[in-house]
Amino acid sequence: MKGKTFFISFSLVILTIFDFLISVAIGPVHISLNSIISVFYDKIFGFNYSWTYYVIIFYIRMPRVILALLVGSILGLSGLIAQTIFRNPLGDPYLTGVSSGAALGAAIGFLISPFLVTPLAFSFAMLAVGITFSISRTDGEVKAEILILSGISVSFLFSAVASYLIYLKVYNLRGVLFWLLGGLYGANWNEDFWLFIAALIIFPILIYFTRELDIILLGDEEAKSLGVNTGRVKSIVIILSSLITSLAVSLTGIIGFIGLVSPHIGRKIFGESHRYLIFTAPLIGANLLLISDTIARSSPQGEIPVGIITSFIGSPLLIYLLYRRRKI
Amino acid sequence: MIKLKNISVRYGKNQILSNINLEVKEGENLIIMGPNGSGKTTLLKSMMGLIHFEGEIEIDGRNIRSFSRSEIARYISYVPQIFTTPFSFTVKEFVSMGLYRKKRDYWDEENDIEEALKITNIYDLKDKYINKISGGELQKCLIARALVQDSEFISMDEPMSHLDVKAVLEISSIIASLSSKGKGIIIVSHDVNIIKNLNGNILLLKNGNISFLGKEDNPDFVRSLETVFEVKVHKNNDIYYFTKL
Repeated sequence: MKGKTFFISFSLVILTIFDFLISVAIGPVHISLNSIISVFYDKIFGFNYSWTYYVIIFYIRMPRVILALLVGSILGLSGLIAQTIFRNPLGDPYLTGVSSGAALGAAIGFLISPFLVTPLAFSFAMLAVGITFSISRTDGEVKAEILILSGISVSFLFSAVASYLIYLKVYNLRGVLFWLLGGLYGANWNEDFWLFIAALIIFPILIYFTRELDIILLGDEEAKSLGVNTGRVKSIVIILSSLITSLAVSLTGIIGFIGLVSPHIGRKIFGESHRYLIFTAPLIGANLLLISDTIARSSPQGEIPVGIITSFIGSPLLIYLLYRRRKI
Repeated sequence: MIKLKNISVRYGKNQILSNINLEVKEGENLIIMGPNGSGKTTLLKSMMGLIHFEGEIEIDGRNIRSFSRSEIARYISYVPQIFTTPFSFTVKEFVSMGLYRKKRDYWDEENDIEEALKITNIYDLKDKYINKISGGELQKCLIARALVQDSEFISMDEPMSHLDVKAVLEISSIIASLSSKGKGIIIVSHDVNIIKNLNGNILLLKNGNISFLGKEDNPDFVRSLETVFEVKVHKNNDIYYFTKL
């Protein structure tokens, strides 16, 4: 790793820790950084600690901060993979139908029981991905162009049904709308734990294919001629990244822009090769979502759906990057 | 040896290749020529199993359909038609991808690619980004990558089109020197005069059929050239040139 790349990656890790502490500090009850560190310290070494601070930190803020980091990194990594597999800078983890599938599942869940929102969102997200995938798979190959088009078609179909349901049952509009725009308000340690386990299993497999992803960027024919089994690699990474994205979305709703913008920021800093991007795109995503969520929950008007904030932060950032690229 | 038996390729209703039979032995060269749309690139791609075809292709007596991608990559490498790449890999990163079939962990293998970079005269460019170099330089990177892949054959799809005169001379001398070292070159070319530098069989394609297959000294060659391209062929100082019929 070159000196500069190492330095920036290291700074990114430090930034994440810093963001983590700041985010835990911010909230209706302000807790100073000193108090946070001393609660951690006292807890670990068995000293007496402030019970109130402990509850706020460990049961209210940390589960949510951790969820933001996890979901942000999942979206960042899945976005990177989507952009590579589709060979398209507009690639987004939701392109395979994840978001509209989840939206329909959630809409049905809201009609039946709030407890069904997450499981139904997950099941329908996977259903949408499955349909998209089976349409675009021919001769054991996944053609990027067909995958995008079938993803868009399936998304529109699922969105249409979801919109119709929401239109029929206006009484729960705010709940559904809040869910659709994404929010981490439901965070708890249980969710964090399962999402962490999923990431722990899936991330290493995705990272294993880093070298193939680099070559796949050159296009199917070249990748094959170099010896890459493109059909197999693409199927595995798309299915796994859709799976973990569906899981994240079913817990938090549809958080936009993180998956699109994180890989672009990473590329601007670290170049095209996945060897750095595969780690930095998720880190950037984690930071972006954590910052956005901290803003979302500390708004004076009460909580704002985090999807609104990510778009507010993400769009100008992307426009800035595009503007800089044009100047060079 | 690559053996094509009754190869036909169809895109929808269009018959691109019909019943092609062909053999290329180790170390031999094959120069594929023909007008636009005659099926040259399609033929090249089907030889690597990159597109769907009817018929049989055998590599050393074994059906190509039973090969894995990396087995085919060991046998034949591919220099595609020049592309504009939006991707900012460095020359070194790009060329080292040729190692993939041998060494999945191809990153940081500078020693393995050094020779290829030197043969193709791009050693000094190794840290430049491939989207910031000229077409001729990119072509050399593609050839270097194929060299690193270390296959029996190198297939090339019009490696000299879109290049300026100096780059054409340089690339053709690189190709000639690879051939003299025993690499089999399978090349699609628009330029008849490439046969000055590259000995081998010449294949003339028209509308997906073989019109001519043989050496330059075959008495039918010039006549076939005239029929295939619908021009009058002249030869002066060993250089072919064309006028309207």
